[in-house]
Amino acid sequence: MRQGKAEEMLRIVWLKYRQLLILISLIMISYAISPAFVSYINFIYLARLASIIGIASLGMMLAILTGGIDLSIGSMAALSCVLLAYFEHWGIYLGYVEQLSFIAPLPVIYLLCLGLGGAFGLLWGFIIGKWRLPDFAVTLAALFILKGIAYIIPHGQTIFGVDSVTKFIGAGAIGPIPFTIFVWIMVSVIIYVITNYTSLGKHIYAFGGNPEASEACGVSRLKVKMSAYAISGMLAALVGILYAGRTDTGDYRVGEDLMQNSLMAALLGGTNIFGGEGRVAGVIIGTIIVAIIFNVFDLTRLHPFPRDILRGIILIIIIAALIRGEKIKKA
Amino acid sequence: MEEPIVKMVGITKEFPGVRALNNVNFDIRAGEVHCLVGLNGAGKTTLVKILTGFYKPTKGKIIVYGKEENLNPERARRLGILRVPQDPELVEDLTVAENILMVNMPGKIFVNPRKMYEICEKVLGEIGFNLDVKKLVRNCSRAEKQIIMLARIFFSQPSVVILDEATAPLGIREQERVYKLVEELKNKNIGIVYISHRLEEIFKIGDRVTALRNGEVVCTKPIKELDLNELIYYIAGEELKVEEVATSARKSMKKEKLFEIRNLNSDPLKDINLIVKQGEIVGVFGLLGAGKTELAEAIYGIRKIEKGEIYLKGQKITINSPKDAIRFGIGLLPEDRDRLGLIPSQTVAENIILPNINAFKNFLFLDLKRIRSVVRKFIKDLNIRTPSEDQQVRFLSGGNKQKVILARWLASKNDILLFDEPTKGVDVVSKREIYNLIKEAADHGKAVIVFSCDLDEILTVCDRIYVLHRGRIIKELEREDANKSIILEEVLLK
Repeated sequence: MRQGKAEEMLRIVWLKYRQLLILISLIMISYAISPAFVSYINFIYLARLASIIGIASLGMMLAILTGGIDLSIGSMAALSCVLLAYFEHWGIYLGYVEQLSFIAPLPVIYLLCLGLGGAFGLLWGFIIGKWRLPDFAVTLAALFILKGIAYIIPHGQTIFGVDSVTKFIGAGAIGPIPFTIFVWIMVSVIIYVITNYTSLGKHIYAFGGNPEASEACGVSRLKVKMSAYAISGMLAALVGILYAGRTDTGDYRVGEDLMQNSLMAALLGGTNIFGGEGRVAGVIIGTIIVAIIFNVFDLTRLHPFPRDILRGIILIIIIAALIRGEKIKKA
Repeated sequence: MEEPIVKMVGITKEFPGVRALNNVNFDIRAGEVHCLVGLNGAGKTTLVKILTGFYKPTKGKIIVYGKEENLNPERARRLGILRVPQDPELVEDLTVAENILMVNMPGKIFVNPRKMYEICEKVLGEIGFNLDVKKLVRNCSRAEKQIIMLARIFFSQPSVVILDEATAPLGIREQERVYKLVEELKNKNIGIVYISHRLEEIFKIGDRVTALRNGEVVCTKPIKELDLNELIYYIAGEELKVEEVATSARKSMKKEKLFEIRNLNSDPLKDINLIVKQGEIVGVFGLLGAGKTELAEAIYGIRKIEKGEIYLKGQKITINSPKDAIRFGIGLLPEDRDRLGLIPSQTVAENIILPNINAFKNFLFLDLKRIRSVVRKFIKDLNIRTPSEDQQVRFLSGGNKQKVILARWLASKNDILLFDEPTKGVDVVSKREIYNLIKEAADHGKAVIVFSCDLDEILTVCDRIYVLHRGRIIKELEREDANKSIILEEVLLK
């Protein structure tokens, strides 16, 4: 009997904290594989990687919560990255330039980038919500459209050099802590408040949980989809600005794996792919897990290809642990 | 006495924080209808889930054909233990025939569609149901889906069939056919577990009855040794009058016309005229296929209205969507509560405030404290059995789910309430509570329309009754002038 109780306790702990437990064991294993994992330099690297995935995955989470998915996140980030550099080299022959020439003051450029991300999100949300087209198809189309625009604007070239503020945001640090972490925290708080303390948040969860019943309760499909994709687009644009700052370029190729990574982070964070369930805290943990998986093998001398194979295998193991964990709850 | 097919001995099932079953003994003999009764949350569903291998018991053993078994869903199916679930588990995008023959498709590799439809039509005909087998399940009504679930068992070789509220969504005629079907299964020496809230039918078809209360067996007796009041005593643990005194006690205040429908047409509905006054409970009675749910959905804006006008307090209004309906103060408790009513992943609180959420806004943000206190009040008033307002609705039992939707509309300011089968799958005690809540709502000046195929229900709560038959209103009666035989004559003989 006593043993049964201990088992019960263990199970409850596992159910509640399994993501955290997986994260902790992952950190320990990483340290065992490569002691360099726990070092300041690696922390900086990890933090930047995690912030970028983390911000994008919160947008991804919102899209998934509505029962959809946002495949255009990577392309939107690339477009925003290119646009920022383009606006800062306004009027000058594209290519390598030493002098920046802004189209407008920097805050306006930021607003333009973020606003465009939001506007595109609204457009996809409108198409999905009003015409009742599948999220997957529309955002897949968006992926190509945005990628194409990001390529055309600089004529397929990389624009070198962005302003110092952007560089600080993307690559700077306050004391020992990279600035991107603060951006990530700020975004997380905003999304947390939206999901938990606004009627929009409740509507997003409700719609993803049961679209038909939600509409029968007066929830507007159009509003839910447009808001979720607008926020997701805006966050992707923010990631684009961070990319520009970190690499000091406007490059249309950035963010190519952003969509996969943020999707993975959202799923590992316990977001239900069918919508309606998912929490900010879970997605943050999921993000760190993804960042570690991508980081740890880079510290070893393994050839790049086996690294990817190992990453894949580890992902399956973690997902199996998470999902099987859920099954225990039902039995 | 011969050995039972299945014997469950000392079954205990614990969930974190709850003991759902406590030392339950239950057996099923061949060719017997063993009824399982109890209030919502008494543990009937849990027991069935253990029997079908979906749950493992915490303690106790299950003996099938004299052998102890460690059941899982696959093993239970192999042993022929089949369940017809309360909520249909069907593939919406396949046809009726494909769903019925899911496991037993004719043909080895390639399916012969013609043969498939033939077989299906034949079997449906034999058990007395007419259904278009080529129709997509998506387009089937709740009752038709139930029939599909029933037809399925005829293509398997069951040893034990569990019918969980099998007649709940059905009209009177279909119910009779289900009884006949049960009789047939009995003759084939199949053991039947029959779960129902309709106690009359238990006396009609049952052989033995086991009553559960709070996870424990209160009695197992041959049905002949029991009478109705005794059984209700076992189920509820208190004496209850079987039939509520009709509404005569409710002085239906003749107030002003609140809501009116004129010449409404929407396939299959034709020229519907209907009036509801303030503080009045109007019943719309109709058998399966009469168009009852369609009418509710048309008023609520889910179904397109082809022709006709709707008036609210004498003003003409247009309803194109549920959103419009809610804006005009209309609320719907849908027949299919899982599809149109509830968000299973959301909490009780979130489900209750959903259509009304903007009333809880302070500037931009939600006032969670006020939500909590309002919801708690309704959980208490409606006696919703849930550990807290933060419980996900998917974990509630059927009757409690129904009360959550009821709470949703009572909590809103909406004053025209459409209740489509408000007590479907709800136990006797909750049923009485729901009737009282409906009456209370009307006493507070709301106008209520109850859509039901349960005549007792209509006669118990309504002040005025419309009889719907094949899409038309064929009779309007004041409660004083109505009784069972008058109404049944209308719909059965015409």
